[in-house]
Order: sequence, then C-alpha cells, then structure tokens
Amino acid sequence: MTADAARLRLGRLVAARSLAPKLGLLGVGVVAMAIAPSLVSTHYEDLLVQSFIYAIFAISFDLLWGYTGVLSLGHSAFFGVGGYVIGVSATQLGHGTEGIAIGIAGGVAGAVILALAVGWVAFYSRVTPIYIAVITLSLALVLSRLAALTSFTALSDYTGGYNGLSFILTSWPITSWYWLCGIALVVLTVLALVLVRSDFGRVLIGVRDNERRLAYLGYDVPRLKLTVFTLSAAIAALAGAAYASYLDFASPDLLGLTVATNVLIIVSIGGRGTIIGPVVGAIIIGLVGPTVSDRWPEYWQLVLGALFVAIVIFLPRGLWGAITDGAKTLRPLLRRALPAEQPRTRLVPTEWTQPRRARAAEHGASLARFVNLRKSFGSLHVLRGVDLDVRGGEILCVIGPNGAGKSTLINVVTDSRELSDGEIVFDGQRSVGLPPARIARRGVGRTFQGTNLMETYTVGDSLFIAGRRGSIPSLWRRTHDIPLNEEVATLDAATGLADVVDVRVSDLSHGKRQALELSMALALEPQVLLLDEPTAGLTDEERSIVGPLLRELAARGIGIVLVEHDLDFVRAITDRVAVLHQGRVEVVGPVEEVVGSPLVREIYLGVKS
Amino acid sequence: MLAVVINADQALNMLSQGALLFILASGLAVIFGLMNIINFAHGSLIMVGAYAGAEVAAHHLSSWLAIPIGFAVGVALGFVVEVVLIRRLYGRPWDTILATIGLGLILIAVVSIVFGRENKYVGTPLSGEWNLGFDRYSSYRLFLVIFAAALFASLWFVTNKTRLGLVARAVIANETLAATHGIDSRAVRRWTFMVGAGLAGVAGALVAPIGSVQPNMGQDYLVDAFMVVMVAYSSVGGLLLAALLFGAAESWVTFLTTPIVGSVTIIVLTAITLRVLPQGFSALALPGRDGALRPRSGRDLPTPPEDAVR
Repeated sequence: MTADAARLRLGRLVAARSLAPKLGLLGVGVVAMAIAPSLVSTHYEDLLVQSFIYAIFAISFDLLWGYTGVLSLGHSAFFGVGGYVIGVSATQLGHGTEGIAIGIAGGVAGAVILALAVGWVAFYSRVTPIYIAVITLSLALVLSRLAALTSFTALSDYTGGYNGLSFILTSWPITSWYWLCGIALVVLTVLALVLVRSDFGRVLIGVRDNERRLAYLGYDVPRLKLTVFTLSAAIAALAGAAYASYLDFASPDLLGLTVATNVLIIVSIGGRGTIIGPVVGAIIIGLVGPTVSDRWPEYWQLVLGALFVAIVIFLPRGLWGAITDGAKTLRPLLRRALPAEQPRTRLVPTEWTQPRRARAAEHGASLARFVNLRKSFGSLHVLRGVDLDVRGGEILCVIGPNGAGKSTLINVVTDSRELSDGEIVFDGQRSVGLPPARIARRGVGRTFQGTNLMETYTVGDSLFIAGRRGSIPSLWRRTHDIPLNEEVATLDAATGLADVVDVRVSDLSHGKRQALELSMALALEPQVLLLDEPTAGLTDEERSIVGPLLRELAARGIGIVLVEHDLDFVRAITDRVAVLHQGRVEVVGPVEEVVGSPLVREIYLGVKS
Repeated sequence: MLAVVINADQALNMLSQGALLFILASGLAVIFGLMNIINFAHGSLIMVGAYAGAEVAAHHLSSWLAIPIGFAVGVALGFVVEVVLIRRLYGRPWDTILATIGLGLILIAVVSIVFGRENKYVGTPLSGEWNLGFDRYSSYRLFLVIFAAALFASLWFVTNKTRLGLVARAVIANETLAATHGIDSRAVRRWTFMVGAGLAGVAGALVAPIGSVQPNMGQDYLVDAFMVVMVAYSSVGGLLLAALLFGAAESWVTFLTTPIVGSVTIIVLTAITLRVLPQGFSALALPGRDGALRPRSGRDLPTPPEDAVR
C-alpha cells in the first residue's frame, strides 16, 4: 500500500464514514464476551447473563425513545408480559418444547396485542404528546397490580399473586444461558445498528426531531410510531421471557415501575439514540450495581440517581454520545493532516417523476378550489368564508395585513381536519377531514413561515426524506446518491445548498435554511405549492434567485399560492393577487389592478378614498 | 342498587378520599399549571413531608406542628432543587421529567440512609369521631375535607383575585412580554416551584397519620396525583372536580372489590378521560376556568424536538 493510499484510508476512518471502527468495536466486544466465562467466577457469569438480557431490553427502549422519540414510562409492562406468559405456560403445559415454544410465542403475541391496542389509542388520536407517557405508565401499574392480586378473582391461580410465580423451564447450566443470551445480544445489536443507519432509521429520527413536518412531507407518522412501538414491545417481551425463565421466577415487580425506571436510567446514562451506549451501559451497570449494592444498597441507589440526573442535565446524549461528540471535535484537527475526501453523499439530478396534471397546454386549468373556507377558534373567527381558485401555471399571491388569516388559510388547506366549515376540492377530489400526510401525498406541498426543519438531519437527509414523498424506504440499505429533480437541483446549486449536503441542519445559516425549506417542498414534486413568506429574511441576492425559480415552476404547470408581504416582489412575479382582510377575500384580480386599488390602500394605510 | 351500596359512611369515605386526592395533587398541579413542568419527584417530596411529620411526633411536639413544618421543609427543599436542577432545564420539559424521576430516587435513597427503611407510625392530631347528626365519622378525615376546601379556596383566590396570581398568569401567557414589563419571571418560577414543593410537604404531613410512612411511600401518591393533574390539566376547578370524582370512584370500587382493584380505578379512568377529552376537564366550563392555572391553548408540552438529542 502506498503512503497516499494509507493516508486516504486513515482519512476515511477519521471521517467516521467507514464502518471499520464500529466493526472493530463490535469485534472487541465479541472477543471479550468469548473469553469472559473462562476469566470470571460463576457469580459474575450469572450477573453477565442478566446484564445481556437487560441490554436487549435496553435496545428495545432505545429504538423507541432514542430514535423515534416516544417516551414509554411503563416499558416494563411488555417485559413482564413476556416473563409471565412463559411462566404460566411452563406451569400449565410443562417444561417441554411445547411449554417453551408456546410460552415465547404467547408472550410476544401478548405484548404485540397490548402494544397495538395502547399505540392505537395513543397515536391515532389528537391527544397531548404527554399522553403516551401517561398511558404506558398506566398500563404497567395496572398490570403489576393485577398480577399482585391474591383474592377476588381466579387470576392468582395462574400468576401466583403477590408472591409471584415460581416455575422450572430448563435445567441448563449458566454457561448455556451465557452463550444463548450473549449471541442473541450480538445479533440484536447488529440488526438494530443496521436498522437505525438505514433509510428507514432516517425516517424514525425525523419522527423524533419534527414529526409535524414529517407529516407534511407525506409520512404516516402514527403508523411509523405504532410500528416501532410494537417492534419494541416484542423485543422487550423476548427479554422478559429470557429473564423470567433464567431466574425460574416471575413476580409483579417485573411489570412494575422499578424495572421501567431502570431501563430508562440505563439508556439515559449509556446514551439515547446510540444503541451501543445502552448496551454497554446495561452491562456495566448490571455488573457494578449488584456488586456495590450487596454491601451498600442505599448508597448505590444514591450514586445511580445522582449520575442519572447529572447526565440528563449536562450530557443529554449520555456517555456514549459524549464520547462520539468528543471524537467529532477532534476530527477536524486530524483532518488537517489528511487529504480532503469527497463527500460520500451526492445529489443526482433526475427528471421530475410525479405526473404533472396540468400540462403547458392546459395552463389556467383549475387545480384546486377552496369554497367558503371557515376557521374559528372558539368565538374568534379567523376565516369567514374564503373562496379561491388555484390554477395550474399561475402564481396566486395572497396579501393582507397581519392577522388577516393568511397562514391559517395555508394551515387549513394542508390539514383539512382543522377546517371548521367549507369545501376543498383538489384535482377533482373532495379533500376535507384529511390529515397532512394524506394531503401531501395528493400533491400539495407547503413551506412554513420562518422555518420548520429536522434539526439533527443533514441537508442530504432532509432532501432524501422529502423526495421519498412518504413512502417507507429500505430497512437495511442507506442511500448515498440522492435523486433530486432538476428544479431542486437548480435551486440548491444557486443557493449553495448543494455544497453543504453533509452539514447538519442546525448549523445552517438562515438563508440556507429558507432555501432548504423550499427545496423540501419542491422535492415532494407537488402540483399545488403553498408558500408562507418564502423570502422572509433573505438577502436581495437570494431573493433574486427565488423569483425566477417560482416563475419557472409555474411555467411547468404547477399552481403556486404565495403568502407575501413584499409588494415589489409580488409585483414582479405574480399573475393574480388576492387580498385577505379579516378572514375574507376582499378582491382578486391581476396584480396591477389590485395593488393600486383604493381598497388595498385603505386596508394597508387606513386611508379612506 | 346504588342506594343499597352507598350508605352514609361510604358517602363520607368517597368525599374524604376525593379531598385527600386534591391535597395530594395540589402541589403537582401548581407546578404543572404555572411552569409547564411535570415534577416526578412530587411523590418523594410527599414522602419527605411525611418524615418531617414523623420527626415532629418523635420529638413529642404537637401533631398540628407537622403541617407548617412539612410546608417549611418542602419549601426549603424546593428552593434547593429549583436552583440546582430545575432552572437548568427550562425549555426542556421532557428532560425535566427524567431529571425529576432521578431526583425522586435520590430523595428515597437519602431518606433510607438517614432513617432506615422500616415503617414509621405517626399519631393523628385529631382522634375519635365527630357526630354529624346523620352519622359518626373519623374526625381526622373530616378535618381533611375542611382542609381541602380551604386549600381550594386559597388557590382559587390567589390565582384569580390577587396581584400575585395576575403576575404568575402573565408569565405563563407570555414570559418574554412579562419580563419586558418588569416582572422578574425567574423569581416567579422559583417561588412557584417552592410553593408547589411546600404543598407536597404539607400533603405528606397530612397523610402520614393515615398511611404507612416509609421511603417508597410516595410512588403510589405520585401516580394518583399525576393522573388527576393530567385530567384537570389547567384549572383549579378542574382539579377539584377530577379529585372528587376519581377519589369517590376509587373509594367506591375499593368498597365493592379490593383495595388493589380500587387503586387501578384512577389510572383507568384517566386513560379513558384523556382519550376522549385531550385537554382534560379544562375543556369543560368550570369555575376557575377563566382564571385557569394555564391558558387552554398555546403552550402545550411540546413534542420532543425542543430538547431532542442534538
């Protein structure tokens, strides 16, 4: 190998694009796991088995909370269900293959059914975000209390009531358990890492970062959450089944708050959203905890609690997150000594793939019709009957003073569940009572006033996710060549976004954020595009890019609704102008007529003519 | 059927259980309502208040002293916690949940180290029964009903009729604007947390004589209080209604079945209520709604992005 090639390889390693460090780490872990039994006493081997099981439980929790942003305060419910079902199965069916198979399958099935029921209630309704925490906590408490029932019902004949359920499933030696759980942990860790690094993993991080925006990009957020919640519950049930059958015991504590809190603490300290952190954390805490608390039980709780609080305040990404962040700050120093590497993420310009329904020949054809749109908040009527017609190939500008209802108009059109009354016809289809994702998939794109982005995404992630238009991407592959239609490619080249594809969104300048906001809406390849002050805060130079681009889009048959304050900008690019005042469209017409009309002067300047 | 099941004693059980629930939840409600923070250390603060009561008993002081001492201990602890912990987490509501869970564990560990894990028994300041004419009933539980009524009246009065309440509501509605009008919003938050913690201490001192006092006692109280506050959401009236309804339901189900099934009642009712009324009882027209602890719309708990892992 030449020196240059070696330096290039090193450069790639340092840039963390290579899988080598992660595989190396995993290799070290596997080797350590393989030699540990010959080095440590049976006592520690026993602790390791329990730690491995807890690590699997922690993975299930990290997928749900660290990646998808769903905080379950009662994840022990699923762990305990796995444990109890295998226990009941062993006592009722015996400890043969039948008892084991039905026990495991039944536990997973039970957890999946519970997760589907709870998730359906929590995700498919307009409840407050805290509701999922309330209902998972409730589930764990209810189950643990029912399991502790010793009288009143026949339940305790099966569960053993308050004293728990002793059963014998296997007579395997500890070493067998060690290998079984160890291998299961390695396999699950690898699978989880592949999943979170895949394109699907990117979508999950989008749910965590900004589920609302993801919905406006066409993603069915409730279904995504329900999927991960169910998957997480199934893994937790497997861990619970292993735990109970290893200890030959299932007690109400398995379902209770202590177990739920433990997994939360392990994942927080290890590092949420890292998979490796929770696994390492579970093993270390699982070894140190019992060793210390055998001698000083209360002091261990104190130390663990204090560490947990300190991590939450000072290192929200946990210890593993802190380590990787530290590595990232060192990287530029190393990189200076190493050759610059081409970014791995590339934008690949493609044709506009979505059908354009209004072709150039049909310019002026109606794409969307808003009839008598009304929106009230209690006694406050923001929209009092708005009628508008969006035509293919034209830019319709909505102007009006602050509080006229311009943003509300965009909001009710893109989330028609919010509509108090009225009719939205889009492409011949009635679109009322639909959530944002359905409307986005019908070809309605929007931008937000200010910006509304996924902050931990890179620019490339954002464009990729937007371009998928809500279809669920690969569970294992990660796309590096991001297909992008010409319009977005042009915009990104002109605004410099194309040069920063690997930069995190939270590190972008305001102008680039606005450009990304618009790029994401365009990557959806909409037929109707609703823009809420897309040039606010842009420099004149940046503004001079947006105007012609919008004209270009219109020329291709898209219908654009533009909310804008800058009347010069409006004059320069708009076909028609609608004046919104106190929730009504006061006048619609060609730009010169409307802007110069006495009505506009009266509304804006208060001059009676 | 109902007439058969509910006699005068049972009716008073239901009423006093609701009153107790209101007392237990009030501190959590004040902090949630004014600061938009769910204080999961609330249960442990109740526990600390109960130990304060136990110390009063151990020193042979008047049992009535437990109430002001519980309050003082809660306020002092609230001050320390606000300065050390809560203040650093403003704008990160989800992390505040985690940090207060951790704080709860720390308090349990400290109390276990100092006082041991065994049960402590605390005498009541009022023993015996009062004759109500139609029934004779535990005087201490009747005292709790009176205390809850007084607490409700003061909370309602402070939030709706005083300058203090006005200032606090200004901070909730728009903290930046309030600050530009010369309101020290940090002080408002600090005092709110201290009062909330103090109320938890009082609740602890009040339940000490009728429950077991041990380091983990706060967990069940926390859960019940949390559920009631979620249902009440933002109004004092809603809190009273939720506490009275759910407390009565718990008491009635316990009477019909067993205490364990009874203890599940509040949880199940909350899960159902919030599914039907996402804004809880504050969506209903209730007294105190216009002077709600918190405006109905606007500052809901944000979804994770606010403190998402960066």
